[in-house]
Formats: sequence, C-alpha cells, structure tokens
Amino acid sequence: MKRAYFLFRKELTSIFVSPVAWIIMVLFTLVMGANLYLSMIAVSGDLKQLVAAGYGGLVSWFMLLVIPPLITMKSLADENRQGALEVLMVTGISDASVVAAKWAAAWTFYVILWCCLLPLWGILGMVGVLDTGVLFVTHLGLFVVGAAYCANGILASALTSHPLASAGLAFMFNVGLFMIHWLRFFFRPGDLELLWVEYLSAVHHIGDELTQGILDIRVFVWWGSFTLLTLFLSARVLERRRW
Amino acid sequence: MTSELTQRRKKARKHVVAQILLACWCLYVVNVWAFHTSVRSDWSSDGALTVTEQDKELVRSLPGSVEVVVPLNFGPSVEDQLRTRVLLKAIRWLEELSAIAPNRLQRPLTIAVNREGDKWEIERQEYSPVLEVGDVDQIHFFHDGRRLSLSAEELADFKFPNVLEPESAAEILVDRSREVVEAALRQVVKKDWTRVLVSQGRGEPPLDSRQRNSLRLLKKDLEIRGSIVDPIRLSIEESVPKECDLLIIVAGGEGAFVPFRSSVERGIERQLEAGGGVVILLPPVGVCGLEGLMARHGISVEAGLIAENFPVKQGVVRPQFLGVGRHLDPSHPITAPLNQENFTAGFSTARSLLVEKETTGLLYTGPGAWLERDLGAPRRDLAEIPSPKVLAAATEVGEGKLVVISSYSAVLPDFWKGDVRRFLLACFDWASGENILPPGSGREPISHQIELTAAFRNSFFWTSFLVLPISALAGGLLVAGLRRRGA
Repeated sequence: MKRAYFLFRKELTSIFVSPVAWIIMVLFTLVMGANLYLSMIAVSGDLKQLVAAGYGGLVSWFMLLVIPPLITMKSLADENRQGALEVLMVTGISDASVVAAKWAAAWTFYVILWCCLLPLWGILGMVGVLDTGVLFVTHLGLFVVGAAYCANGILASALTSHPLASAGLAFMFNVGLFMIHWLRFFFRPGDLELLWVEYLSAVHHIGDELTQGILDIRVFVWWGSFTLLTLFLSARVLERRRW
Repeated sequence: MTSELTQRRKKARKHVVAQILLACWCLYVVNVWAFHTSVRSDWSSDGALTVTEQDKELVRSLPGSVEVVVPLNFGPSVEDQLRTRVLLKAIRWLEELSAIAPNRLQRPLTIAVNREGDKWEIERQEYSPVLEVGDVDQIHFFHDGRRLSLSAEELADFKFPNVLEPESAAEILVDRSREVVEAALRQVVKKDWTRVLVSQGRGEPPLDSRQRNSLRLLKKDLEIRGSIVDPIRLSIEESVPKECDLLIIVAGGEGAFVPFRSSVERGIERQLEAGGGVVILLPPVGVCGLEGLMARHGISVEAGLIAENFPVKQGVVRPQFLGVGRHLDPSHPITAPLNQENFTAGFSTARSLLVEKETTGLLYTGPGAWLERDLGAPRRDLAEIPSPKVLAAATEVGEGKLVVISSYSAVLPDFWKGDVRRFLLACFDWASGENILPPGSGREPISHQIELTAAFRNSFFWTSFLVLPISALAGGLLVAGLRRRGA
C-alpha cells in the first residue's frame, strides 16, 4: 500500500512536471472558460440553466472524451516502450498497485482540471444565487464518469507501447461508451431496453439527472463497477508480461 | 523445461480467463441489482424534482400503464419559449415520477414536431384518431383508451406583454406543473367519468359545430379531462337525468335566445336539490327564464352591460362593453387556488350581478367599471358611478351547487383561453363536485438570473478567456523554470 502511495505521488509529480499536462490545462481552461462564457450569454444569465448548458453541451463532452486519453496515454505505454516497466515490476510492487497508482494520479489531475473552473463559478456566485447543490452533484458526476474514462485510458495504455496509439484506443473506448446513449432511438418509452440504455448512458446521467440536481446511487454503482473492471483488466494485461 | 513452462502458461491463461469471466459476472450481478434498486435524491435548492412519499404512492397505485406523449413545436417567440420551458419542466417531472415505477407510468415520449415531422406523423398514426395535427405543445396522457391533455397555460401562470402593458416583460408568475401533472394522472385513471350536459335547442351555440360561434373547445376541454359531454334539450325533456353531475346552460347564441319555461326551471331546481351542479352563463340582453330561480338563491341581474375605459391605439382611451375580472374572492373553493395577483379574465358583453348574503361573489371587475344602460354605444354619464361589479357568483343549494356567470361569450372559441378558461374550468369543477383538475396553489419559480451588465460581461469574458488560461500557463512556466534551476 505504501509503495502504491509512493508510486501515486511519483506519477502525480511526473504529470505536473510534464509540459503536456500544462498545455492540456491551458487548452482546457481556455475552451471550457469560453464555453461557460458563451453559455452564460445563451441562457441570459440564468445560473441554474448555465450548469446544464455549460456542462451538458457538446464542448464539455468533447473535453470529457478527449482529456482522459491525453492524460493517461503515457502512463504505461511510454514506460513500456522505454523498458521502465520491467524495472518497476522487479521492485516487488504488484501489478494491481501499479495500475491503481497510475490511474489515481491521472484521475487526480483530471479532477484538478475541472476544479480550475471553480473560480468562474465563484465570480458568478458573487453576483447571483448559485444552486450549489446542483453544481456539487454535477461535478461529482463528472468525476465519477471521468474515473471510468481514465480507467479506459489506463487499459489502452497497458495494451500498447505507443502513447499516440494508446490515446487513440482510449478515445475509441470512450466514444463507444458515449455512443450507448444513441441506442435509445431504437426503443420506445416503456421498453425495458430503453431503461437499460439510460442506465448505461453517461449523457443521460449528466444531461438529464446530475445537471438537474438529481443524484442517483446507480450512477456510482455503474461507473464505479465499470472502473474497477477496467482497472482489473489493465492489471491482467500487465500480468501477461510475467507469463 | 520448455514444456513445463508451456504448461504453466496454459494454466495461467485459463486462470486469467476464469478471473475475467468472474469479474464480468460480478459487474453484471451488481448492476442488475442496482438497476432495480434506485435511490435518488434531489440536491437542487428549489427541490422542484423532490419525490415525496405521496408521489410514490400515487405512481405505484396507478392501475395499468399510463403513456405520455408530448409533441413540442419550439416556437421562436418569447411566449412560445416560456411555454416550452414550462412544458419541458413538466416533462422532467414526469420522468422523475416514471423512475418510481416505469411499468405504471411510462417515460414521456417527446417529439420535436418542427424537426421530427415524420416521427410526429408515425406517433399520430399510433394514437390515431385521438391525436390531431394541431395537438402540439400539450402533454397527452393515455390510459385504457382514455386521453387527457394539458397545455402550458394549465401548468403555469404567465405574464405576457398585452395591450394594457405593452412594455412589460414576459415571465412565469406561478409554476403549478407538479400539482397539475399529478392531478392529471389521478384523473386519467379515474373510473367514474363526470357526466356533463349542455343545454341545446333554444338558440344556444351548437356543441359540435366547426363554426366560430360554437362550444366545441369547451366540449373538447371537458372531454379530455375525463368528462362525458352530451347535449340536452331542456325544452323537450324538461327534467335533468339523474346521472348528470353538471348542467351547463349557455343562455345566448346566434339570434334570439328563447327563454326557458317554468317547467324547465322546476327541473333545474330538482337537479340542485338532488345534489347536482348547475352553471348558468347569461345572455347579453333579455331574460333567460331562470331569473326567478337565481333570485331565490340570492343572485339577481342588473339591467345594462358592464363597460370600462380601455386604451386603444396611440394612448387613446375608449369605453368598451367589456367586463374584466381582476379580483377574486380569496376564500371560496373555486377561486382560492387560482393565482390572485395579475388575474385578468375578460368577458365581452357582461351583465352585472347582485348577490345576497348567502351567495359569494367570485369575480369582480376593477373600480373603473360602470353599468351602461345605453346599449347603443358605451359612454359614461355623470350618473353612472364606477365601482367594482360582480361578474360571477356561486351558492350552495343544499347538496347542489349553482354558479352564475355574467356573460355566455366566454365559452365561445374566440374567448375560451387564458384566465377566463381557467376560471370557468374551476367553476365547472366545483359545481360538478368532481375534482376535474385542481389548479393547485403552485409556486413562484426561484430566480437564479443574474443581470448581465456590460461591466460584468467584460470582467467575466476576460477572466474566462485570459485570466484562467494565463494562470495555467504561468504555472507551467514556473514549474519548467524550477526544474531547469534544479537541473
């Protein structure tokens, strides 16, 4: 556990000293800041609608799908390419700890990225009445869904030894999860299949529930269990080297 | 040695495959359990989507499945946008209710008519011939062959710029979507339909005609609320059938209205004594033959028509034969749930009622109205002193209920809208003794609106476009500098 914690700290530090991370942060704050500003104009300053417009729109989804692969692309793929992974493995740290530490570091950076937008909400809160409950729940949902997307990135990174290929693969995984939402057009209200599609759909969770202030425990169960499964698969992929 | 390694690898592979299958099975089991175990909570400050125990009880007690179809037109005007917002809010509430028991209340099927015209046609065929092309911007509930429809005006009170206040902003005054949606659910599954009879054959506007001077919108509105609406020829039948919950007498129409005979009056009296409801809508001139009955129950009609000064073009004020109900009795069951502020119900060619102690005046004009006895052209003489006039009155006759409305014109298609329609529906509800559609008190929406002044927009623009990205860039440069120094 201690080794995993040290590895997590090392990973987080390596993220923050990497120029890629800062470029991602600059781009993220620029694009999301612009998105929030334009959304605010579009909803004529209605702060409750702004949460849904700002975090449920296409720009946010693009960020949600693209950012985790960019953060995680180097996690295992780069180390694998440089041969550093073998060195790490012989230190006695388990595969699961390596995967967990790298995922936790990537996810922490992802959370920090979204928290970078909080000053903007602070400014809005100074001039109007913010629905803090809705904002809190929305962020919670973004973090939970982001956890699964980061786990996809770790799995993709474990499967390849090229960071760009890893990013591409992770992006495909994420888009696949994102596209589940559009299966709903095949079903009618009342169909059980439609309820399952909604259960699995991140767009439904964020757009229809979390940005409206509704917190459903099922969001945590689905995305939490999916994250665990993906991390488990990543650990098994790493374990392949030992055979 | 090599074969032993191969054996081990094979064994390991089998183990890994078994582990992965087991993990997938665990994921499946956990999620199937979670799928059927929904624990939801509303974190919004207004609690608009908070589901109470009563809500859960209501949805779980629905017999069979209720389907909901909402064709939306997404009109571009400010009025349309406000209506759409209210309808979307009601849809969201229905979705929340549907999450309680999806097999009892289906998720609403929303169709953007102006974008998905084909889908709208397919759905119309599915529910044909019940849904008409024009049934857009309404929430349609279907259960067991019955249909109930709600428009945005029933879900909320709006304030739109009008002739009197052309500069005022469009806004939602009171949002009742929760209460009205729940009432509609109760109504659509109700087994006992309200039986409504409308008098015909003495010059009243026809019930089913397509012409302008008809009662078709009134009939449609009552039917989609779970009522059976039939005509009754009082001049022939002279008595009201026992199963009638509500008798509506529209005493006016094209040409001369033939007053009722005393035998009809006795029949109506028996309907009241039997606990039925009677609503009388008065003709603009002459008598309807029921003056004696009304007088016995404390309601009499003054001679003349209500007139009031109204602004017309370019600030010119002109007297018109129009009684605008602005003040409601705050305590009567009909009017208490209605929005008391900004209530504006216009009645064309309205009579003025006089009410006695036992009777309640439901709706009053403003203080500027007067009783004009010269029916040629309204013009206030010095003798005609303006004062609030009674436009509607109600009284209980034993178990029965009597409501008198001062103008029949309100039920014609051109006037059947807005506050007038809501007020009359509330009167019908009360008189029939059925809770057809309780309007509910509703709530004023909590505003999270901020004023987008030029200064604020500028500061927010620079913060979002420059300050945050530059801060991130500065952080990156600082880290790079520190690393270089450390190296």
